[in-house]
Amino acid sequence: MTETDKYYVERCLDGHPDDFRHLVRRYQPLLLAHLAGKLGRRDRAEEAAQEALVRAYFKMDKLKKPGSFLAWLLGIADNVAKEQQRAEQIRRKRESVRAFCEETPQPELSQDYALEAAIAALPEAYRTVILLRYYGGLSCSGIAEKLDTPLGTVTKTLSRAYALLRDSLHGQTVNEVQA
Amino acid sequence: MNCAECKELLVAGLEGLLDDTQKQAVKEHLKTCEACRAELKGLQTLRERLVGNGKALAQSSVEDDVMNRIIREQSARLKSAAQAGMGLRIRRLIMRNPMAKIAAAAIVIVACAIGMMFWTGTESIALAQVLARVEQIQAYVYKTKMTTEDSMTGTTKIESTVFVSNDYGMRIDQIGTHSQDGRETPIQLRTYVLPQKKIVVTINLADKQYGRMTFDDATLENAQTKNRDPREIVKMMLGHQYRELGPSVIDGRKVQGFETTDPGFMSGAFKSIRGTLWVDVETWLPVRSETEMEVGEGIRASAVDYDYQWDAPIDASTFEPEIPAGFTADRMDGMQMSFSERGFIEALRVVVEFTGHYPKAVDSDGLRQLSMEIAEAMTTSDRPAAQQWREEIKQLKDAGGSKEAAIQAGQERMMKLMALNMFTMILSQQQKDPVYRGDVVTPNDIELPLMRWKLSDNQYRVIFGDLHAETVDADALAKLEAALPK
Repeated sequence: MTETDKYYVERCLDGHPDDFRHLVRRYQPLLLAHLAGKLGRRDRAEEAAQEALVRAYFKMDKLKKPGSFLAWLLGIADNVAKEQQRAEQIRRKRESVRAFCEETPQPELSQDYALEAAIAALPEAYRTVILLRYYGGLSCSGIAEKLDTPLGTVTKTLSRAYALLRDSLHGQTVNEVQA
Repeated sequence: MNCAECKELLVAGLEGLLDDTQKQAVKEHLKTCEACRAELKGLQTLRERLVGNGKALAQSSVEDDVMNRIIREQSARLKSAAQAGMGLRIRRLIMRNPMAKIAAAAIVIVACAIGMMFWTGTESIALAQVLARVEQIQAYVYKTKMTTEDSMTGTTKIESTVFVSNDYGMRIDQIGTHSQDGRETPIQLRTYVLPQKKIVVTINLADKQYGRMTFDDATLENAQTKNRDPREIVKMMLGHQYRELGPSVIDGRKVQGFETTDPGFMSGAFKSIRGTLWVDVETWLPVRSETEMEVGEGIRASAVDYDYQWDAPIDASTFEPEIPAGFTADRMDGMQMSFSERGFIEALRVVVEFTGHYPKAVDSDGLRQLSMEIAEAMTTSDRPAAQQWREEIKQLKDAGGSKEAAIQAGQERMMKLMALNMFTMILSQQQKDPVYRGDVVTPNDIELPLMRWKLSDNQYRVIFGDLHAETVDADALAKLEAALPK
């Protein structure tokens, strides 16, 4: 687990598919948080994360910089999420007719949907730091190293991300109360 | 420390990133400031929420599902990649083999004769003069630059010198490169087409190999009419549209240009084509000809013929192939080519054995699809021919043969397929009006005409769905064709 992304990417490209497991383990929570925020449901997020990881594996030879695996993976995940949302819209339209007479089961919410949605809504720089810190298992200095920025910038970004998240979560609560 | 300064350090504090002095200062401030204490509490709650959610998501086991899917899809992909790779390789071999080169060269030759195609379908005295003039030519030499771009097999650039003699035949010296994926392979070929000896000799100087192929009489007869009698070429061009491009100057010579984009031009063998011919206004002989064609999906070719030397003195020795010492015979050596009715039927039989149906079309693009389809059938189909083929490969392997050798073994079968394209092309060049209906006729249709062409004004040759052939008159043909499904 201590090797770099680049190492595992290259191992996979050299024909060791099993080493992809390390990358999956490393980024699974982060990817799930990222997707859950967008998709709002735990099962959908898991489905999308799976799909994104599988696609990433088979497109690995297209990854130009093996060191930027994560950013690239998140890009793929975004596409998968968009596709899922589109498919979901179509499904809902079809089902809206049936829904009149049937009781629709409550979709299973992910662990903390409000939080994940708030993270998903963050500007990218803040989102990345939050995801890496709490879902990617990196320390602040680990993030500084990964993003190649000074530690001070990371803590400032993190601090600002906290503020944005609190605003956003507070806003959600207010809206819920008002609703 | 004021509140703003304190707030700035709170998150860093939670992350354990403050030094002792900072820690102390924050602690002091918090003792006296309720607002900042509340702020810290809020941040702590959020942090716990983030950490908790992160842990919860880490519990989820996407891992096994992902790995299982990868393994499943990997093996499915490997299988189809192996098939695709096989198709590709077989196609590459077709492209690499001498006969395909000759076919390509023949295209260039025909392209050179483009001007002659313009001579018909017009009352222009000038063009008739060009025809008369060329008919007197006994031997000539010209150069060709040809580029073929194929999205699948790469780019080939070849420069050739072509010697044509009414007495001996034709010799094409080709030199160039094939490049794909940044890799370049040199091409150096010398091809002799010697109708009197009924033989085509290819000497591959790059690979130190040679091949001598013979032709059956029917093919030869066709080839002779096709390549050696300009009047035949004129006839074949009848009815194609062209336009005059007006006067210009090439290499200091006054020339007049003609251009055609008629899709029927060159037997409709290409998806699209544009041919330009420049003729010297004083000698009425071609000076330069340019052809651009779309051979098929993703394949484009362009050729420029230039530096014509009309009535050049050509020595008989030019047409005597000399195989250098140490060269070895390639796999095509000794093969007999049949671009005739017999070869055409044989090719169709091969297709049916492997795929169970006839090719929908027999143009060059159709042929390209077909070689892929057969390559796939060779590896996956349950048909006896495919099983037999795999058995053959297995035996080859068991006998210690290389994979490459095994694939080459399939080459002869693939080569037969060229007759589909070549024979039809020859027929249409001879204005024999070939009509192929593989799109509707199946191997079970004993009474439906799969292919027909004209023998004389009232006589047609017909190959039926079960591959037997008959000669019928025009009325009988009309009845047969009326029975074809719409």
